[in-house]
Amino acid sequence: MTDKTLVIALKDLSIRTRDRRSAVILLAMPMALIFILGLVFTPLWSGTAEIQRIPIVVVDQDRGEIARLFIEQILATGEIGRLLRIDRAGEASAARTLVMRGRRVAGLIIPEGFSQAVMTGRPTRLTLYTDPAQSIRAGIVQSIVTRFAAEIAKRQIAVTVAAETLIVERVMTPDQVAAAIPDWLRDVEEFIDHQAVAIAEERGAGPRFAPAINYYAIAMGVMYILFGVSIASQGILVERREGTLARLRTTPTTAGDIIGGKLLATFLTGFTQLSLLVVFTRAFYGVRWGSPLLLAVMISATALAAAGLGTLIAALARSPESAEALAPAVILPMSFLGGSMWPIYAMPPWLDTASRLSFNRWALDGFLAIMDGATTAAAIAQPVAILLGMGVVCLAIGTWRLRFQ
Amino acid sequence: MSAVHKAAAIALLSLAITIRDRGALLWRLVMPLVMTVLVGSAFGGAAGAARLPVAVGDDDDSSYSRLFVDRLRTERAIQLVETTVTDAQARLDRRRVAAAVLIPKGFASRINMGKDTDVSVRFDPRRGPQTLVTEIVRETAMRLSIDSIAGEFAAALAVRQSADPSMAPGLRRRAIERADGHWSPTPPITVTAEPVTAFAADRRRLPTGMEQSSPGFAVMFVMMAAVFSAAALVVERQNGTLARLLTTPTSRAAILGGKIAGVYLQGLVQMAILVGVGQAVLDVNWGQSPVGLALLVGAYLLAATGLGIMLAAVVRTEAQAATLVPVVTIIPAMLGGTFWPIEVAPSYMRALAYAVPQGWAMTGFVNIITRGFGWQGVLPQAAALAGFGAAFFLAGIWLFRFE
Repeated sequence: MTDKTLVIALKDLSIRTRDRRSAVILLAMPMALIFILGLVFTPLWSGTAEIQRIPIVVVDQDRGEIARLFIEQILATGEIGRLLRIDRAGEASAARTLVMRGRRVAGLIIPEGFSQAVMTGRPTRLTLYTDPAQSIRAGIVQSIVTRFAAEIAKRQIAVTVAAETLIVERVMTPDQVAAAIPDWLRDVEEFIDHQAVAIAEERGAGPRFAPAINYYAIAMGVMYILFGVSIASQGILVERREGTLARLRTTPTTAGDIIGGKLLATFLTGFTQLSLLVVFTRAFYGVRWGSPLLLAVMISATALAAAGLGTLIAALARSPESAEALAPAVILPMSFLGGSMWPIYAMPPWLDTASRLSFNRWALDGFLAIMDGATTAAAIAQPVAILLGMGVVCLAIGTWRLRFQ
Repeated sequence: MSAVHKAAAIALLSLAITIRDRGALLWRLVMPLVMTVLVGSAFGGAAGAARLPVAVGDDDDSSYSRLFVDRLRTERAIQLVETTVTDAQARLDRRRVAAAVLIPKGFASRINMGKDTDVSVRFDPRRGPQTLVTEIVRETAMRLSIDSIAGEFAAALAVRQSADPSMAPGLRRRAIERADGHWSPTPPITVTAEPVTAFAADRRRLPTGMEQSSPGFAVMFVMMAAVFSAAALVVERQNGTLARLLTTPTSRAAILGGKIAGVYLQGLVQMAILVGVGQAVLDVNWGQSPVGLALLVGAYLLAATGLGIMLAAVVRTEAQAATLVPVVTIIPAMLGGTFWPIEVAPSYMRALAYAVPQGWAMTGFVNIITRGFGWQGVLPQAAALAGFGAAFFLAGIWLFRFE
């Protein structure tokens, strides 16, 4: 690297840092998006979204004892009360309308004869109107209602099964059983709350769950560094059109110096942008990024790969305008594939495989590893190596295709 | 030529220019369609949500343990991998799945012996607890717990009656089996979900990911293109071509009217193509209510064009416009639920969706596509969008300067 390279790079960089437009696009915009995505997804990912109670409406057409018990005792209990917000409607048609308009996620209809059926042991059903436009939450409601409906049936099942078993096994005669059932209905209470199969909800091995805002700090940072370097490399095209590149060549400066300087400036733009995003998200959103040393390595590798990609886009475009149109057309789909918009670990397997072709995926992998508490270089060796490879290949093709005039 | 003719000529000219512009083609049609297909097919499960990858490790392989596997398999929102406990755990550790349901060996025999047992639901710490999975597992666990209560109760009664404790184990096991028979083929209480829509019975169908992504990206990119092309007025003002047009015998109203109509027409053509492709190729039910669709699209484009004119009135340079377009279009698009189904967002974010035109447009389109509403069902949304449009236009035209 010669002094000239450095001078060209620093000149480009100083022009760029004074550009307020770039500051908005490259820093304020990702900061705003990280904030919104964090607000939207942090509750969802941390499992607290469902704890914001899901609104459902209940219609009691049965008006019997069991229905009253179900609504007043079971649905109103603490556990379910944390999951659902329940109100009542008089008519099924009213509930239907509320659900159809999306005002309630589901409508539970307790049909006429429900209590009678449960008490006599006949199978019966509850109808749950659901809004297809809110099917995720409707699925949760269905599961909850099914579980608690089983609660109502359990006394009846226990007594029926005991009666059947004792008769079949000839422990008691049918007459003895019939006489004993009123007592059994009382005796069963002692058994009824026992939970033989418990659910242990556990956190898997590995680092603690990170709020969505941490993920999107990385994801948006990685996406916007691509915009950053592509704007930076478009500068080369502007200079080419205005003839300043050609004019520079008339001075005793080699093509290598010029290209080297421009590339260095592009790299430094990306490096600065990402570093600032790290600092800002740490300061404003409390995002903990992890080991500063590894972070510096990762930011460098990411900036280099991004600079390569930016240069390649610039080299393939004919004018600054076409580069400006082409860049997002490459960046947005690649960012989606690579996990910058929706988390990689929420993707179906084919997409997970496809994401390995994208720049974003490897950058995300590396930063996530560091955020998860990696302290050794080995943890980020693979992403860094792949990013450097991508960067070098893109830069090679880019500089080969780039024209000065 | 009358002012109206001149305005129409200006509008048609701008439409003709756009149609020939390859960059515009890329931004207005290729990008939204690519994103629609990518996002829609990735999240093809329940109404655009990601199908959740879940592994169930069943080392017991008994009729009781298989109840969990079968129940999980029926859930559309879940993509289930059936495997062993070790493998399920390994998949979770490698982040291949969001949750692992682990059923240990000896599960069924512990139940039969009247002993307590448990099923673990492990979740990826990075993704947090998975309520849907836990609830489904709880549902089956409840069934088995009730079976066990019945078995325990029957055994206790038998021992009390015969004073012979040795008969309890066998009797308990048989009573549990008998109790479990009460759940199939029909459980004592079945909860049937019935999606409520305005569709006729034969047109009802399960929602797909495209039903979210097709309107979503149309809403986002139509707004972006309209605002961007209205903002091009800034360039004309900067270059002085707007002022130059004024030296011709053309009124200000005709020029501005023509420019606005041009932006509106471009948006209309763009939307028509996106809707057409959505309907014909992606099988999205856009055509449910042509009148409702026309009302919504017409009103949404008013809002989009209005926002563009307002932006063109407020900013001075092309660079400012280029900076602000993404800010005023992408952020409201996210808030309005164009990227993800708005139901996944917490309630305060769902409320914010009503503050942006995109939120109203999405509700309106979802009402037609997924809920099967007719035109009456989208009047509130169309009216709200027209309201946004009127407010933007008033502000925009009042502030607009030709030089």
